[in-house]
Amino acid sequence: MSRPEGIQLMEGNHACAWGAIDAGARFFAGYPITPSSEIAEVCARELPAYGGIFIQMEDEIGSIAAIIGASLSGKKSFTATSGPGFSLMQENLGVGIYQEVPCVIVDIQRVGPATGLATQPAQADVMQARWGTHGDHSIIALSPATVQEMYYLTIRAFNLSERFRTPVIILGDQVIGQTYENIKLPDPSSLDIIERIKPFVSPEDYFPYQPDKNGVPPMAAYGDRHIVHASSTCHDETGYSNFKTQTNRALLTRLKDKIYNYTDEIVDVEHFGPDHAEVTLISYGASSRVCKYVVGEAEKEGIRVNLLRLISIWPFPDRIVREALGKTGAVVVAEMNQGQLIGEVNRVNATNTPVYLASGIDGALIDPDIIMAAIREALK
Amino acid sequence: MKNNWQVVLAGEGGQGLILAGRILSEAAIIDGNNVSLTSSYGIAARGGYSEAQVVISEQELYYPKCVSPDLILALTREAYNRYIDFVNNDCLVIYDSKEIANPMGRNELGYDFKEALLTLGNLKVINSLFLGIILKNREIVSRESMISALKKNMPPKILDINLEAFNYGMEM
Repeated sequence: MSRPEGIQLMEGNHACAWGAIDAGARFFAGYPITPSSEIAEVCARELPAYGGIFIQMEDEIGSIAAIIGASLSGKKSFTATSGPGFSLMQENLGVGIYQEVPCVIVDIQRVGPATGLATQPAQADVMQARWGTHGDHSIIALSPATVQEMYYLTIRAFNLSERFRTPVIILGDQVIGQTYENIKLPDPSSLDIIERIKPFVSPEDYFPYQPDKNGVPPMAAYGDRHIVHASSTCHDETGYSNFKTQTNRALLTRLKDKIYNYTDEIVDVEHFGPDHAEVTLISYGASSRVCKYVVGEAEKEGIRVNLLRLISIWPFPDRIVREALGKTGAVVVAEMNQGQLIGEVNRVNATNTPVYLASGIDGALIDPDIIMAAIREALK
Repeated sequence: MKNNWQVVLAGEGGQGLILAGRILSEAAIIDGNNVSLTSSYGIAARGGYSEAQVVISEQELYYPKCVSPDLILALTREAYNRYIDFVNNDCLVIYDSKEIANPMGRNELGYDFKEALLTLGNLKVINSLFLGIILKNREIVSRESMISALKKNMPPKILDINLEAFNYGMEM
């Protein structure tokens, strides 16, 4: 099968794989797991024709280790998994962050914890994506809500990972991963693709972790004339271990600043519905499209509801959510978990706006009635 | 012609329900509509409850599942029982009369699928058969688009018998 042309019926997972290929990904290592396996399937079938490599690894620990190695060797690389595999990847996710390795990790969330309900959707890995790996760190995570958006956000995930030299997580879910929708893949030459900055000094003057003015070090690949060393212990600009506490302080600060100082560049949201509303929904991923449906249903009942849809989740869009809280009567956070991102909403709630949770934990796309019930509760 | 449809195809694993959902969805795309196809299945490859839901709309699709189906195909008792209490008055239920002996709803049509398949001489073409029956009763997509989608999705070796089954369903 070659690249699909024209308007297609396509599964979200397939759209993710094609987005990766169009973004320039040429290395996939993974261990198939429902409901993400179709991403691996497409990569196995298609990547060799693009000069890329697909490896089915022994497990998810090996998978993320392999994509880190591939990226350090100059390839755009990614892996795809679901909750149990995402848990196994946490340690090396930290390695990727600390060694500043551009790569993309796709988590198609299913019901957990543990093996949970393998074929059914959840959005319960949101805080794991943020804090699952140990130690202070920053993370970028994006959450697609349609098949078409899965394609474009996968491209954006690679662009952000290259731009910031850091792992980027796509927090999908079983609904988006395995729903088929009509999609049109654009002409690849029309896409804006970002590549990592290569060293612009001579090999003798190159230090692999000497940052550019935006805090991101230009990146040579293993095998280039510029010598690279990457360590998972505290390291200075040479890349070699350095155990001074002030070295780690400087490194941690730079790793945070290189992302958080550019939050506005990363944050992506959609405002949906009327400008002013009695109740504002805040949601992301599959739940957010149910919210769009609910905005229309509520309007039929004469209730003015709007939606702030978070397309990027991490870094959390503090300012935008704070503003939304400040100009609405109440907020309902709709998510397929027992309440995860609602904690972030409350954290930035400077106006003490009442915040309610619409929680869908039934192993299915969140029911519109759950969200409507929360809206009615908020209006009491 | 109505352009918003919610269709549930329900039965058990192995009946080609998800492939039929795909064919119906692709036909709707050929007709110029937006489509969302979801499926629900257990961890077994064959047997057990299985369903495909197809939502078709001219507008952007927010809720990708069927909220109030316009048509339900129920090929097993379990499939029938799952939905029958929730259908609205306008919903057409097409069921297997050999599987569901005493139907309860008003807007229902029973078909003897087994007999039709035996006449066709192939028990595996049940999905093309019921797509024909569905299209005969509700003009969800154009016949030309359905035939194009069937041709795209059926391997050449079994295309003719599937087209025969589809046409047979259109006449039942």
